[in-house]
Amino acid sequence: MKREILDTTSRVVFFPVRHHSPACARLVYDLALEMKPDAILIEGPSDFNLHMSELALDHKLPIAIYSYAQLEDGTRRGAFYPFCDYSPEWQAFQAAKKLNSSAAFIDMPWADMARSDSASHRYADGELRFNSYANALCTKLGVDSFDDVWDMLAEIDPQLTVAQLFERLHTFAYHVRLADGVSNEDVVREAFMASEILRAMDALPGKILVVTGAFHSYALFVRIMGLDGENPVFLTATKENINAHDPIDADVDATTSTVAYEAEANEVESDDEGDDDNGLDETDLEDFVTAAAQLARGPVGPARGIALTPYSYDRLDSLKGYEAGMPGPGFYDHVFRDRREGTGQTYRKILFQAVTDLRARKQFVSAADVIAVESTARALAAIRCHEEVWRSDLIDAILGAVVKEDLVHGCHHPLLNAIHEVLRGSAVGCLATDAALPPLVRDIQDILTQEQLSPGRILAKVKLDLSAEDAVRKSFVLHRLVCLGISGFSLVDTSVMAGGDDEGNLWEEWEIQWTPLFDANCIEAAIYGSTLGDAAAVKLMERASAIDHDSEAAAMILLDACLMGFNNLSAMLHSQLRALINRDNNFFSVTGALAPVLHLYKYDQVLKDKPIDTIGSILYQVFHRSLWLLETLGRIDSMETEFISKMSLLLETFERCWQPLEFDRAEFVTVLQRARAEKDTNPLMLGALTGALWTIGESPLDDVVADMTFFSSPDSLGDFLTGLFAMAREASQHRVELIMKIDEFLMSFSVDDFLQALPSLRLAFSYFTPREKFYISQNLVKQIGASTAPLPALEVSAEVAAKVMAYEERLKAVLERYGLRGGDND
Amino acid sequence: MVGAVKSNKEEIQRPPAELLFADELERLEKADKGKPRPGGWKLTPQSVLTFVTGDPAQKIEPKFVGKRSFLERCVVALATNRGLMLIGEPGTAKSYLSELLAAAICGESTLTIQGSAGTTEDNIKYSWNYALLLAEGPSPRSMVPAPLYRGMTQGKIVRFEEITRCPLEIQDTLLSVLSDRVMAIPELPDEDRMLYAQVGFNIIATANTRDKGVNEMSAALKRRFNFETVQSISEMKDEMALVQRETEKLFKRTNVPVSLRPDITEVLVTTFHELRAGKTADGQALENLTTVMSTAEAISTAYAAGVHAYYYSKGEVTPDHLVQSLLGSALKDSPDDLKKLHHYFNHAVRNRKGAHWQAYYEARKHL
Repeated sequence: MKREILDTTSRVVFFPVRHHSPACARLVYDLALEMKPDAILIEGPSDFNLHMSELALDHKLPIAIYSYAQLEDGTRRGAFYPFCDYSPEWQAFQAAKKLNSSAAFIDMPWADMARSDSASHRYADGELRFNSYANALCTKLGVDSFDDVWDMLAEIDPQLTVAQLFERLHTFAYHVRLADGVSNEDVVREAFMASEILRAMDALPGKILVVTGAFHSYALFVRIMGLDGENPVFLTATKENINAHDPIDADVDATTSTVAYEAEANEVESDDEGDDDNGLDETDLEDFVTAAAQLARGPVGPARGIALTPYSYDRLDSLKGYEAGMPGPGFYDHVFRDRREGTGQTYRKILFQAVTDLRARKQFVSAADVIAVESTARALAAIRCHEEVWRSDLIDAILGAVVKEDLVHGCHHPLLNAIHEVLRGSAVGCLATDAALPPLVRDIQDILTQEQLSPGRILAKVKLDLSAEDAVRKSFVLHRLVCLGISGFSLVDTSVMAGGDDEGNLWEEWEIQWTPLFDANCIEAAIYGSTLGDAAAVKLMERASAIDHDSEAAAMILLDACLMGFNNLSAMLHSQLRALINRDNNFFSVTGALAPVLHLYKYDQVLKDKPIDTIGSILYQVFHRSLWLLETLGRIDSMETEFISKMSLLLETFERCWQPLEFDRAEFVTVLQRARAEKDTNPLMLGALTGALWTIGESPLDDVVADMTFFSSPDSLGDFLTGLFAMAREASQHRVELIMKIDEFLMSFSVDDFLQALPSLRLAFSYFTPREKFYISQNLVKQIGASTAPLPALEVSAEVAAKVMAYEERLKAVLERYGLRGGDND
Repeated sequence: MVGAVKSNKEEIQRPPAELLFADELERLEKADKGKPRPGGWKLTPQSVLTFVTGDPAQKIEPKFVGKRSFLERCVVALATNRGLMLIGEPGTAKSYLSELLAAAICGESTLTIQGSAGTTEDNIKYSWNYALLLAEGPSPRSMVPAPLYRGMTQGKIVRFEEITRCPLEIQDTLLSVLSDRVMAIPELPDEDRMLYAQVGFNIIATANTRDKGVNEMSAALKRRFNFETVQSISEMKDEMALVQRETEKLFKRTNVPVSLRPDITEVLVTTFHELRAGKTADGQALENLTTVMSTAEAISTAYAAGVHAYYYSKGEVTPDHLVQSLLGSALKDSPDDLKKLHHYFNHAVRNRKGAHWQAYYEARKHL
């Protein structure tokens, strides 16, 4: 590594940052004030430069720059560049404001590199987090994660100087790059950033401060200085893009953007159309910035856009994997503020905040406990050579000193949860009142106008016939609005959940009315995203991640996603669902998940482009997981009705899907057989298992009769038959042998026995319609040789039938009103 | 006395950590010369950690698999004069860890009180030499010190094993010792009546979570301890390496010249790991067995399978041996667990790829 990069007095200074690092934020501000550069160039979307003046308004952070683009396949994707008070990028911008220097973003517009699988959090640090050098450093320093390494490198020492920071971060990033190389996307972006820096160098006489992720600093330095003989990893791609499968064409993009940029800059100069809103100094740079912005904006149109939008710490903290940035925004926010004000001991504030929260929740935390935590935390900080008590010390101190229970992996303790909440912070951003409305609000307004769904003062009823394409589109919009909690839209009736009405038609009935909360709701929802689609998807994900074990609820989310038209659900939602199904240990909720998934797979005509393969494979998984759990079910006392309905669902799924989805038939059969062979099985359960096997042709009638004989006592015959009839209704009514056998048992009962058996027998035969019952009895009578009377023809006009039904409905309503109906299943 | 033991180190069935790793401790102590450390400690807290986790650069053997932050918390608890309570499932090496910590901190791990239903105050504090007591009356000379007394006078770490197996009133003997660091000996004359603990004294207690409720600890005593849960090994590959290593050691010690094929270790450790975690490697939840499925049990199962193979087959350990050993050494006598194990074979093992897994599935007939 050339040590010239560490020189903070050279003309171009490359400040290495980790996005959202308070130490970098503090030092970049200090260095900028000391250096007084002509321009501060920041890693950020250069197509936002035209709106720089908006960034300078009085916003409440966190906010984000949101960039979106329509991809070639017509889908729309967006990406965020979030800013907190303690973002180095934000502080660099603040310094420029104070110095009256110019600030400009120099990264490639996101829309130019967007693809369906690009990272949507542009200030994430996957390349550091999943790097072999960083991992080796973890082992060497004896810490558990990259975040701890980072804290030791940059954050903990309050006295850290710019020189130390430069030395550490440039060295670290240099080795990170050497270790695992660089993706094509990054190389293209670096070429773009380098060309922007060169342009600024040409345009301006003074110093320039370049603020980028440490990962890019040395590469930019190599490009700007024209260093030969450096490791090729700083100039050419050596690995696949982290998030994109197809490489961006490096040469074409980089060169065209540079060339076109120069041409564009000249053109703009002659136009002399500076943006006078930007409040920046009248320098040569103004042209430079404008030109850059105009070029970067590319073809302006509905296909792409960029705007500010509110953000939240909660959202920032919940990003995972390659999308993750620094964890615990609330903590770093505190640290940044405290250090700026010259106070220390941030951990105390965090600890006391957590204790206060806990006491408010009536959890007992004594003063002695707090002392124990504090002394342990300080000792931990000492043994770990931390200059101050840090995040990890505090968490470990609580684990050691206050938590007196054995901690199971993945389970949380209330005190730990409270601390994590404080560490996360609850700040929610808000755009300045004179800023433009968040993009989401405009998007919702546009969509509502376009679909003629704008809420009026008067309640409007909208019935959507989902066989029409435009109605389906409207339905998606309305479901998305409901998901985001935008008031004024409610679904009053639907035939979708039942798989269609009596004639198989799918429709929905909505009520729409403007409420005073409408605008406020739209603005609040802006933290979820900048388009209705994105925001609803994020909100749905949030709901999904709140589900811990219940796979039925998770499957409902999948159904919701389809109702909202998210056919191309992200892999994340799918894997989350799959994980839930795997984790769920409850037969009833797993099997319950079959209903919505089967519904999606087989019935839903609305989902024209539904991802059948994915849904099919989820269905496969749910089905096999249900079988897995069926065997460990144990006793089902008081869950018998539930069991019957779930078994029917299982059987239905099997019958419908085993061939197209290649279910393991042998496994289904052996699981049912093994479950049937269990000792002490409940008669109803055994009846159901036998019935299921009989229905799929895997159990001869003799076995069925044998099982029935085993349960032929008065207290179990009815239960057995209930299970059997529920699963094998068709087969049961047509097999005379079975009916004769039942008759034989009944005839052997004494009067008392018969009375004992009667209630459950009644329930069992309720699975047949009156006409089926009639045929059964007719068969029976024929067999025993008695004469049969023909069933009188049913002579009821439709009008009478309707009247009877209406009367019954009224009767039921009255019974219900007086609480006379008993349970719901009556 | 220690010297006498030392000369026979080779013949001791299981030498304590301070003997087994005497040279490591000596080297660390030398390197620590002049560095600040808690009063009475032989090593600095950093070196205690190094001793436990190992460091190839200093030729210190790794002894315990666990997160570093967890070990840091343990050491800090002892340095801040709060007692350390190690809790966790049986077989997670709690006692071994406490032995290592005691050996590293004060060079002696044998001041040990074994908790049981029959543990009395005499076993913990002190008792009397009744001949001397009758002849001379109560005096320090007629007293027989128990581990706690010795630890306090010598400023050393006292280990209290399985503390929750002791009755509550016996556990509470520790209250004043832990908070005021003083033990009253009312029988002795005034000048010896109060025994003040020397700097360096502390207590490491262990308790297993399966015994929860046998004798719940009092809240007062809980307060005086830092609780640390010793987790079972979370990384399957670490556990495989450990089982492989320890089993080979056992084979060697008992002159059974067999070795465990890595695929057999994989099958065994995966089974233990999954049944213990209640989750298969691909995330499917399982029902936990009531039997303890710890690493220690995995080692004894592998060992039993090896011995079986050596004496009754041709010395090649096969999945059949594993399944048979599983029955004896792990499953004990719970029919419920047997059912769960059947279920595990039928649903989890059945679909695994690889000849060793299929052979293992076939071996379920022994269950």
